This record gives sequence, structure tokens and C-alpha cells, in this order.
Amino acid sequence: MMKLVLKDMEKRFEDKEVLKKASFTFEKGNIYGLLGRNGAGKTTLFNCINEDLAVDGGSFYIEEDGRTRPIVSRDIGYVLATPVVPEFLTGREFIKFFMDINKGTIRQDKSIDDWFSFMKIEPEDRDKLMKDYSHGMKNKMQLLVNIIASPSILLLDEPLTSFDVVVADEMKRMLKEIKQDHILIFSTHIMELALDLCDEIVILNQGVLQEIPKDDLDQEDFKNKIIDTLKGEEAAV
Amino acid sequence: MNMIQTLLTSFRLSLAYGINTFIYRLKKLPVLKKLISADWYKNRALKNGVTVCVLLFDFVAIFLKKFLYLGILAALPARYLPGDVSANYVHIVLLFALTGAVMNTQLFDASKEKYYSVVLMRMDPRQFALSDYAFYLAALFASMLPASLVIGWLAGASVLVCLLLPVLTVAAKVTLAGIYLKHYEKTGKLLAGSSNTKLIWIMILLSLLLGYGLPAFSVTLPGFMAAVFTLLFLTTAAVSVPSLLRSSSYRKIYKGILTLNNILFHAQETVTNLQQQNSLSRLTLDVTSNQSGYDYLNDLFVKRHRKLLTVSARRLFVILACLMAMSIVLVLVLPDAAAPVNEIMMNLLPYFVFIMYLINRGSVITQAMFFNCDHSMLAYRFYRQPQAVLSLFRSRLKVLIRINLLPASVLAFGFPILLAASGGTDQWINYLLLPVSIFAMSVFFSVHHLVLYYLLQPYDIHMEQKSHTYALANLATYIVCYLFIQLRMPTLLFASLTIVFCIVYIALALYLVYRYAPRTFRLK
Repeated sequence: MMKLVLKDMEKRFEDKEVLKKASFTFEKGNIYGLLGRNGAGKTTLFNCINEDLAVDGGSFYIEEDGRTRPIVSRDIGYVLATPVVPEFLTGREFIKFFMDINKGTIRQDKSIDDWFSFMKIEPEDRDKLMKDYSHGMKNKMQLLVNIIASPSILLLDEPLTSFDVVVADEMKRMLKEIKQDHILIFSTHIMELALDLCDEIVILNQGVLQEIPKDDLDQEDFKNKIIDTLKGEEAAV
Repeated sequence: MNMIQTLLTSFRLSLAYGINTFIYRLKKLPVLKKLISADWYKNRALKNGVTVCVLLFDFVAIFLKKFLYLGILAALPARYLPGDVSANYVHIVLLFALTGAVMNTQLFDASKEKYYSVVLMRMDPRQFALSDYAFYLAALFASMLPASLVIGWLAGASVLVCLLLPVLTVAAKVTLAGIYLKHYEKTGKLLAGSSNTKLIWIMILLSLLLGYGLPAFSVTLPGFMAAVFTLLFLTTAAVSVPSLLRSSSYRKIYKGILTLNNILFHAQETVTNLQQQNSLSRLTLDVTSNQSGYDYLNDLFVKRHRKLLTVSARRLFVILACLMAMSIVLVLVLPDAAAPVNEIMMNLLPYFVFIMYLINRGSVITQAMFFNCDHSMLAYRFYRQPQAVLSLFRSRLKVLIRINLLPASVLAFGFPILLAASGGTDQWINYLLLPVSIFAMSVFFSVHHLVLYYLLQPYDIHMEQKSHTYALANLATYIVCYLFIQLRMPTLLFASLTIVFCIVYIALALYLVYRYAPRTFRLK
């Protein structure tokens, strides 16, 4: 069983402490919903795990069959909240380029068109320049290259917010489909989305990570518990 | 809210903006970064201190600008133009007052202050426009007066003309503002404003031609024209003022000009953003590539942005080739031209360091690379892997060198011909050194720009400049190249030194890139 272990992660910007010894263990096969209020530091946490930002303290690593090892580039995929794609390429060219440079490491059983179909990208859109793609389409492309790379850990920052309801539903199905082979961590501040899609709810509040066990609460009580946790800790400070 | 209040409010607003910007900039500086905390933004006493500094700075700057304007653009050229200095000076300032009024009305320029006041803070557009404009004109008059008196006195102009100049400047601006407004109300189109670059360039050209050109042929406006112009424009301004005051079009005008696209919060990026938009809008699907991997990406990048990259290099090639052909013909036809040209070829090679710097497309191309490609691609982790960075670097370096070699080849092959045509030399090695050193310089600048970009890439994902090292390095490059203009050295020696230097530098730069670029080439 593969795990992503965060241990006492600390990050501060000037005097503002964003992560205060945040610790958590994420396991393969689960979709984690990372909930937090605006500005709680969800993106910062992702940036730290993706090594875009250096942590000020603590560590994170992969634990596999009882052995630990540092995270390497191939382990991680990161889908940003605002999608960025090279606009001068067509969708097909971008995927071709991506498959080219990752020839040795990605599965070759699907063609480019297979991948487009998998992502529900229509044939007429596949050969358009990405500068003419909508926000949602760009997001799909970004998600697609990360799925093709098939990293063990997939960080998704607010991924479904930009999709319309139909696409969001498709994407939800798709994420559930691939979850067995990945650790999926999904940040959002929309609770319904998290409850609907995720197996575990993790809350980032006041710089620490905390799991909210569902136990045998019904949906409504569970929601209230989450809100209380988000609010209560705030009030306690 | 009356005019005075509107003025004070907008004034406080732009002051607050100025102060916060000031602290923000201070926080970006290398050493001070550590000392300044975010608390500074709410520290009253400190802010009052900064306020005084900012106000003082603004105050001094307004006056200084006018002194520099009159000094450098009018008094200095007046001295070097043939004929009477004072007559030249008066001619230049009078013409510039008129072209300046056409060029810059201020009233219809898009500015951050206007955006904050009218769009964000929802102040009344008419009241804001009028009070802001009145203040602008008053400041213009107040700063123009002492500058005009002092510089005019130094240039030998009469006191009367010096006194009239500020009046004329203000009156001409008001007149033009009125004309622009009338034209807008009739046609719905705004002629004025900073966005109308065509008009601005025409006026700059006119200013140069009439302002400096006429005195060069000893034609100047007589001094009494100052009075004539002033009277004329005071009359027209008097007609303009009521319509400016009464107009209700300000809301509509500001709606049009105060869009986020116009108000770029990072002014220095205006040009690059435009460039990006232009090149993107011209993107077409008509090209493909049969390469693979990073070469594929780079190949498509170059082909889809050829307007920005290769076409201008080709245009430069044609222009240089024409100039070169003309020079060669000139030397062959005019025996008198031979000696100086020969001298240039034998002793003035250092001058061409600056020329080579100017014709190198490196800085434009690396900018295009960032805004149109790396800005988005660097968000992907695979793109930042050492192997990826270096593989693309190699691919790009090849292209950049190739693009720049095209215009350079004109000089490289033209110079030996020019040398031979202008009388030649006994030291045959010069025929070889000239082209080799030109090619070396061309490769050098290509490497230099790309290496600087890979080592010092200064932008973050929002395209905001996070470090100034890159800009400083570019400035240093410019200054060093410029200084070579002063240098006189036999081509034999200079070309040899250049070639050796280029080889050493290129080797060193490539080593640095291979060593450090995987760490430095990322979004800041």
C-alpha cells in the first residue's frame, strides 16, 4: 500500500504562519477532499507538496511497503485552479508533445484520440488552437496531461469549479474511475462537491490538517460537523 | 460633492496608492526586503513620513521635468543649430507647445488614478474629469513658469516670450481638449489619448521636422509669433472652456478608455502584453512540424510566431543588404568616399558592437518565449526537469543563433567587400577577421540574451516582475555596448580580441546554464 506522509509541515510568509506543523497520511485508492476557508492555505499546501515552494519545517515523503523514499517529479501531478496551457498549440499537438517527451514512462495503450474521447473532448475541438479553448476546455487539457502521466499522487486545486454541471459530472465519474491507482487530493471550498466525490474529508484550518470521520452520522449532521469544525476552531483562537 | 472635494478625495486616493506602491517597491529591494514587514502598511506615523517624501518627490519631479524638457529638448538643440540661439529656442518651444497640445491632452488619457477614482470608487466622471484637469493645468502653469523664465533667460529669449510660453501651453491644451471633445460628441470616436499611437508618432515626427528641421535651414518663427499664438489660442480656449464645462460625455468617454486592458497595472509590461496579443491574434494553423519532443514544441513555437521572430529578422536582412549595396556602390562611384570608409573598416570595428547589439533580436525573442510559451508551460513540473530545461535550451539556442545570423551575414560578407572596394589593405588577415568577428558577435549576443533569460527569468505566473536583476543586466549590456562607440582600435587587434572573448564567454555562459538553469529557470 502506498502512502503520502506529511509530517509537521511548516510554512510562513513574513509573520503569517500558513502551515503550523501540519501532518497527515494520505493513502492510495482514496479521493481526499481538502476543505478549508478562503485563504486557509490549500494552494500553499499543494505548492509545498509539489515543491514549488520550500517548506520552512517538517517533511513529506512516500511510504511504500513499509519503506520510505523522497518524492520524485514523476510521482506528482498538479492541476492548477487557473488552467495554463501553451496557447499556440492545438489540443492534439499538446498531447502529442507530452506523449513524445514521456515516451518511456507512460502507458502506450491509448492513442491521442482515445485520450480525447476518454476526456470527452469533441472531435471538432481536438485540432483547434488552445487559445480558442474555453476556460473549462483548458482545464480539461490540463487534467488530461496529468492523467496521461499517471502520477501516483494527483493534486487537484479547485478542479471542478470551472466546469458546467454536465462536464463536472463526467469528471467526477472519471476521477472515481481512476482512483484505485492514485492518491487523489482535491481542494475545494464547496462542501457539496467534497461530500459527493470524496472518500475522506480533510480540513485545513489554522494551519493544521484534521480528518473529519463520517462515523455513522447522516449527511446533514456530517455537514454541520464540518462547518462547526471550520468555525469552532476559528472561534477558539 | 463639489469640485474641490472631488479633487481632494481623488488626490488622497492617488496619494494612498503612491505611498503603498512606494512601500511595496521598497520591499522588493534585496536588502530592505528583510527589514520591512507588512505592518508598514498600517503604521500611521511611518506613513505620514512616507507621505511627506512622496509629496516632496512629486513636487520636485514636476518642476524638474519642465526644466529638463525645456533644457534638453529646446535650449540644447538651439545652441547647436545654425543661427541665433535665442531665435532657435523661441521657435522650438513655440512649435513644441502646439504639437504637444495635440499629442497630449491629459484629459482623455487612460491612467491608473482615473481608473481608481471613476471606475473603482465610482466618483462622478464629470466632476472628477474637470477638477482633475483644472488641477493638472494649474500645476502645468506653475511648473512651466519658473522653468520658462530660467531656461529662456539662459537661452537669451525675451522675458515677455518666457512669460507667454506657460500661457500658450495651457491655452493650446484647453483648445485641443475642446476640439477632441466636440469631435467625440459628433462622431463617437476619440482622437486623443495615449492609445492613439499613430497620432502621437505623427506629431513627434512633425515636431522634429518643424522644430529642429526649419532652424537647420535657418528658418525660424519670428519672436512676435509668441504673442500672436498666445492671443489666438486664448481666444479659442475661451470658446473651448464652456463646452468642456457643460459636456455630459465624460461618463461615456471614460467608460471607453478606462478598461482593464488600457489600465495596465504594470506599466512596463504594456508593450510586451501588446506584442503577445498581436502575435497571438495572428496565430494560424497553417503550419505543422514533423519533429518530436522539445524540438517539436520549439519548431511550432517559432513557426506560429514567425511574424514576431523570423519575419522581422528577414526584413532587417533586406534593409541591411540595401544599405550595404548602396555603400559599396557609393565607394566605387565616389572616390572621395573611399578613404573614410577604409578608415571605418580598419579602425572602427568597435562601433559595430553597438550595431550588432541593436540588430540582435535576442531580447525580443526571449520575451516572446516567456509570454507565449514558458509562462504557461513552466506551471508543469515536467517542463522544469533539468533534462527538459536543457533540451529545450539547446533547441532554442540553435534557432536564435540561426535567426540572428541572417542579418549578421550581410555585415559579415559586406565588410570585406567594402574594405576591398575602398582601397583594401596590406594585411590580408583583415579580410578574414572582419567576417569571423561579426559572426562571433552575432552568436555572442544570441547566447547572451538566452543565457540571461534562463538564469534570471524575472516573472511570476501573473506576469509580474519579481526581480530587477534581469532588467539591470540588460541595462548593463546596453551601456557596455554603447561605450564601445567611443573606442578606436585597429581592426586586426579588436577583431582578434573579440573572437577570443566571444569564445571564452560563450563557453562560460553555457557552463553556467548547464550548471544552474535547472534551478533558476522557473516562475518566480
